[in-house]
This record gives sequence, structure tokens and C-alpha cells, in this order.
Amino acid sequence: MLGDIGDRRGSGISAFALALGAAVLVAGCQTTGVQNVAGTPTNYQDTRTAGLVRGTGIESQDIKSMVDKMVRHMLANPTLAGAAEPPRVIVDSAYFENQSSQRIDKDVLTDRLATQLQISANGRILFVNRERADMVEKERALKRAGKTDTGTVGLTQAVAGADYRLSGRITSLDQRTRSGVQQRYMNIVFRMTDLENGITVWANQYDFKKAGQDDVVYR
Amino acid sequence: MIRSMTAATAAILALGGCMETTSQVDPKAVQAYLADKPAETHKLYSKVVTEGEGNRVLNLMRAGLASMELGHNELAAKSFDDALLTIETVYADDERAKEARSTFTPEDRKVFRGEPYERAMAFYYRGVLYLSEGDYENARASFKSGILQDSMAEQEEFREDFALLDFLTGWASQCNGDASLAAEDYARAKQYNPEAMIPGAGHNLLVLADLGYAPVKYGDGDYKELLKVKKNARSYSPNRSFGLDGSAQSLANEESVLRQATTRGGREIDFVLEGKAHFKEGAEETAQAGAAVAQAGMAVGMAGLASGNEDMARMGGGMAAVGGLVSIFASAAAEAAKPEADTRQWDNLPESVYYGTYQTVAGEGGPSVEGLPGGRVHLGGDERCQVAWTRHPTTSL
Amino acid sequence: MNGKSTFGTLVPVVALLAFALAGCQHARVAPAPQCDFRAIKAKAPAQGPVLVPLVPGSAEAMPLNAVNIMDAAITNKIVVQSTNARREANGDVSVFARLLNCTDFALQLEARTHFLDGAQIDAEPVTAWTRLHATAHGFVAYTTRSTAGPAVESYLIEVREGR
Repeated sequence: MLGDIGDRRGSGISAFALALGAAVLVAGCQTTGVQNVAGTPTNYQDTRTAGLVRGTGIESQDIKSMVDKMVRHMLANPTLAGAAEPPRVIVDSAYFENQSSQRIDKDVLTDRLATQLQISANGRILFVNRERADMVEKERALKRAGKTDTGTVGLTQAVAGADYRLSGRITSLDQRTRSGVQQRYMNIVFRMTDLENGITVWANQYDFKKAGQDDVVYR
Repeated sequence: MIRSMTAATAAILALGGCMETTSQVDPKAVQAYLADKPAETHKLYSKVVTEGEGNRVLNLMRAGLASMELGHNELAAKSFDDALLTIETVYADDERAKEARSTFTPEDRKVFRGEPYERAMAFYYRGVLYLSEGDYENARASFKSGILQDSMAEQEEFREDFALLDFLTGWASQCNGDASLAAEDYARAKQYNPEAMIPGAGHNLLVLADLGYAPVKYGDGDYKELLKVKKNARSYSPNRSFGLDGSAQSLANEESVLRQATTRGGREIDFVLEGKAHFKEGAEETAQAGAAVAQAGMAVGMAGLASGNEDMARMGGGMAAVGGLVSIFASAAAEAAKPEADTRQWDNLPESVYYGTYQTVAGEGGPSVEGLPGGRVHLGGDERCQVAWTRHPTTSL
Repeated sequence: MNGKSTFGTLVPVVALLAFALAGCQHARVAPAPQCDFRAIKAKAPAQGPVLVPLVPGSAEAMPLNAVNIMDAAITNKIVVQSTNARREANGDVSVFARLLNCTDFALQLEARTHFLDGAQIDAEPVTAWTRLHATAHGFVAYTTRSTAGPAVESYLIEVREGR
């Protein structure tokens, strides 16, 4: 037997090596499978982002995400969305202030908020259009002057008064270093205030921090 | 070896040649772009299209400022918005930026986004346009962004020292009714310019006079590889007095754009350009050495021929050939190396901005501002605040 | 073939392997919790409501009231520790999911929820992606709330890597 092995010692050793290799491979298959590597770099905080990244301000995905959060939270508020008689609110940008370093059309934000809130509220909240009050006034005048008929819902003594109004503020903390790194923290606060007693009945905020670094040719 | 050297030389020459591309733009595309713009601005705006992406921001800023001088504020605002889009984008892994770092490509291959003083001024003009629309929140955002552009100075004392922009951030807050924010900004303006006159509570008119000629960029060093900025050779003597509603006034404050441009110090890109210059210098030295070897070889060869020493003549001939090739290769490499700094510049900027705030009684047609240099004053604003802006000398169209 | 020399090279290899194995037994404590994705791979068939494809067998039945990690970049990085839902007083549904980052690195995730009615039709538009920052070996909680009232019968939370 030993002689047998001795004759085929070369092949025997290769078989041994193969088995050993296989054992190592099998052992490898039984690992926990955790893919323990770093995540894909993003332009939110990683300053080494590859590719032509965008700026560090509010972008469309932020607006969508922020409005979604606000709408869901507002509709969960019993004062705003749980009253027996639907409250009347004004949602526009008149009292929404931009104090940040980003130039922005605030209406992009408040328009989306007003629309999505109205869709989701589905009658639980009523919306007063104060932005176009002149439009309402003109039609009321025509009806009262007899130039048009009264429409199908009849006349009211006055236009609707509102119970609550949206206010808010966009603020930012900016940093820019000599090495071309720019970082911006933004905080957007939303408030709904009672227009009779001044009490804030609802508030929420949305924040994020983004950073990027320019190529050396721009530093 | 000779073949590969020749190929390499050809490649370097070709590489150098590649960079001089001029793109042909369809005249119809230019016409379509100019269709909605006033005729007097066509010359400037046509360059936005014909000079392509690399110079787009530069041409937009030039044309934007010229439009503002002509009173086409809406067009100017659009132009600055377009330029600021590129200025505000983070350029990380950009192809043209990568090319601009290459030894054989000049720095001005990169997309022009301006030096910090130019970027800050682009935000300044956008901010002034917002002020004249009465949009004080976005005006404030513009001025704030402009301040941030000024954070790249080598020496800390010159970082974010653009007192004008702090002053205007405060003014925008004051006009918007944010008194406490305004006070903070004015305090910062005072820190950078202790002599600055801060607006009184009743002030409702801001007067801005952008006077003088733009700072001039030039390449310093043996190979023009160091970007420097100097005062424009054309001299200009500013006049700070003017008449407001019939009474004599003077513009109390000054911000020197020239000072902002010259106090930045070294740029990081200068080290890259320095490397390119070293390469060029080395290649030139090698070319000279090669030429010397070739010359010596020729002498040895001639001496060999004269003395009838064939070996010596052959060796001399060989030396001359190799030395000659080294010289050709190295001088081609030296020729192809492009260490020059990017000196493209916003050439209709003022040398200084003179400014002050005043109280005016709002009458029909707004305040009467007279006697400012250039004579043409652009008024804007709303019932909260008014702004009067002038530029002299105006851009040649 | 020279057997002796082959054997001669094998000895140090085996010695090296033995050394490596011995190294595994050191006393370094790994950060907890550690994950084992074999259990997830060998998961039992879904109980409860599922979304089935139109053509049987063309796609796996998608369990509802669950979290679907839809991004290959993170399927072996995060584990769903728990998910739950609650019917609120006004009929809306609040959903909740707790995710565990199994890696030694901070991860950014995004999650959103589909709220479905009794006919497995979206009772309201899918929620916006919410960005979640998960620290290394840390839990991160995701929660949102429907707005469509009692119509919502089931939900499906989707998770992808934040980019």
C-alpha cells in the first residue's frame, strides 16, 4: 500500500492540495455574507463625490420629500384635520421668509405644499385663496351689480375668513474653505398659526446638509 | 528607437494641435438665440453661442452687465441666473477641468467660472437686480452667496472681507423689515471697513455707482504660469458727489474691486501650472543640450574627415544625429507644454463701487438723482426701498 | 514531476493556513450586532397577503405588510429588524420599520411606502423617498403615515441606497 502511494505520490499530493483548496472554498461559502464595504459616495455629505455633482442647495427631491413629510404630519394633527367642521386655512408664500443664501422661488415650495395638502385632505381642510382675493372681489362686484347671475351656490355676506395661516422660514449655515469645499446646512421650518388668538397649532421642520468640492483648477 | 521618437514627437505635436479647435456654429442657431434680445446687445450675446461652453459664463456676465447698463433688467437677470448656475455647480470630475491640468493643455481649456472676485461680482449684480425688483429676500441670498465666494484668499485677513456685500446683505434685510438681521450684517461690514457709513433707520434710498475700468489679469513668471491681477492702465478719476431731490450729496463708501482681485494671493492651480512650467523648462534645456551634442558631433565628424580618421568621422556623425533628434524631440515637447495661466477676464467690471444710503421723500416718479458720472441712473425698488444704480464708463457694444 | 519539491512547497502553505486559522481565535470583540444573511436567504415562504404577478411564476410573490430591500447595493448590508403598522383614531395607518446596518460604515438609505386598499390598488400616491442616515452597526427607524383614511388595508415599504 505504501508502495502504491509511493508510486503515485505526485498525483496523490495534487489531490491533497485540491481537497485542501476545496475545503477552503467551502469554508468561504459559509461566511455570513455581509458585504462589508463602504457605501456608494453621495453628494450629500461626502466631499469626494465623483462626477459632475449639482450644487448644495434645495433641489427638487428635497422639495418633494419635505412637502410629503409636512402634509402627512399636518393631516395627523387633530386640530387641523380632525375637527367636526373643516377649518379654513391659507397656504401661500406671503409669510414664508427666505433668510438663506440660496436664491429660491418660494412659490415652488408653498405651491406644492398647498396642492398636495388639498388633495390629501380630501375635504377635511378648506383652503382660502388670499393670493387672488382681487379675482374674487371682481366677480362678487359683477354679481351684485346684476351684470352676471348669482351662480349656483348663491351669494354670501362676505368672503371666507381663515382660521389658520402658514408661515415659515428657510435658513442656512454655509461654509466654504480655501480648498474649494463648500458645505451648506439648510433648515426649513413650517408653522400653522391660529389667526384669531395667535397660537401656533402645528409646526414641523426639514433639514439637510450637503457638501461638494471643486476640481483643483477652480481653486 | 528613432522611429518611436519620431512617432512620439508627432504625437506631441498632434496633441498640441488638437487644442486649437474652433467650432462652427450654425448661423440660424445664433439668430434664434438673438431673436428675443435688443439689437444693441446682439454683438455681445452672439459670442455666448459662437464662443461655446468654455466661455459661456464669461460672455453671459459681460453681456448681462451691458444689458443692465442699457436698462434691460429682465434680460440681465436671466443672463446672470444662467451664469450663476454654472458658478454655483460643484465641478468635481469634469472632463475639461481634467484636460486643463494636463501639461499639454493650457489652463484656459477649463470652463470659465471666474476668479472669486468675478464670481462675487456676478452675485452682486444679480442682487442689485433683485433690489430693483423689490425682492429683498433673494437679493439677500445673492449677496450672501457673493460673500462666500470670497473665502478662498490665501491670507485669512483677506477672506470674506467684501464689506460692500455685507453692507448690501444688511440693506436687503433692512428693506425686508428684518432689523436685527440687518444690524448683524452692518456690524460685519464695519469690521471689514471701519470707515463705512451705516444706513440710518429712516434711509430708504441706496445709491450705487460702479466706476472705472476693470482690473487686468496677466500671467507672471518665465512662462506666464502665475496668475496676477493689476490696475487697468486706463486711468479714471471718480466723482462721488451728486444731487438728490435738489440737495448736494456724496457717496460715502467705497469698495475697491481691484483690491478684492489683488488680495487673493496664490491659487492651488498655480502649483499645477508651476509643474507644467518646470516641464517646459526641462524640455527646453534638454533641447539645448541635444543641439550642443549635435554641434559637437558635427565638429568631431569634420575633424575625423579632415584627418582621414574614418572611425572618428563615423562617431561624430552618430553623435550629431542622436543629438539632433534629442533636440527636436525635446523642443517639440517644450513647444507643446502649456503652462500659461488662464487670463480670460470679465473686462467691463468697474474698478470700484461707490455707495451710500439716504432718506428721500417718495414722490411721483421716485427720487431725483442727478449729476452721477455717466448721467444715466437706473431707478428701481418699491415703496419700502429704492435703488439707484449707475455705471461709468459704459461697455463698448 | 518531482514529488519531493511539491511536498516541500506544500509544507509552508499548510503552516501558513494553520497560522491563519489560529489567528481567527484572537480575542478581538467585533462591534455588535453582527448579521448572518444565510438565514434571510433561507427564509420561509411569506405568510399573509402577497402581491402576485399577472403571469403565474413570472415574478416572486411579493409579501405585503413587509419591507422590500430593492437595491442590490444594500441587500447584503442591511437587515430588517422589525416592521409594524397601527390604525390611528381617524382611520389612517401609521407604518414603522426598523433597519439594522450590518456594515462597519455609515450608510445612507431611502425608504418610501405604498399604501394599498382591499383590492391591492394604491389607495394614495406612493410617499416621497425619505432619507435615513444609518450609523455603522446601528439601527435606524423609518416611520410614515397614510392620508387616505380607512381605505388602506395593506402596505409595502421599499428601501434603496441613498445616492
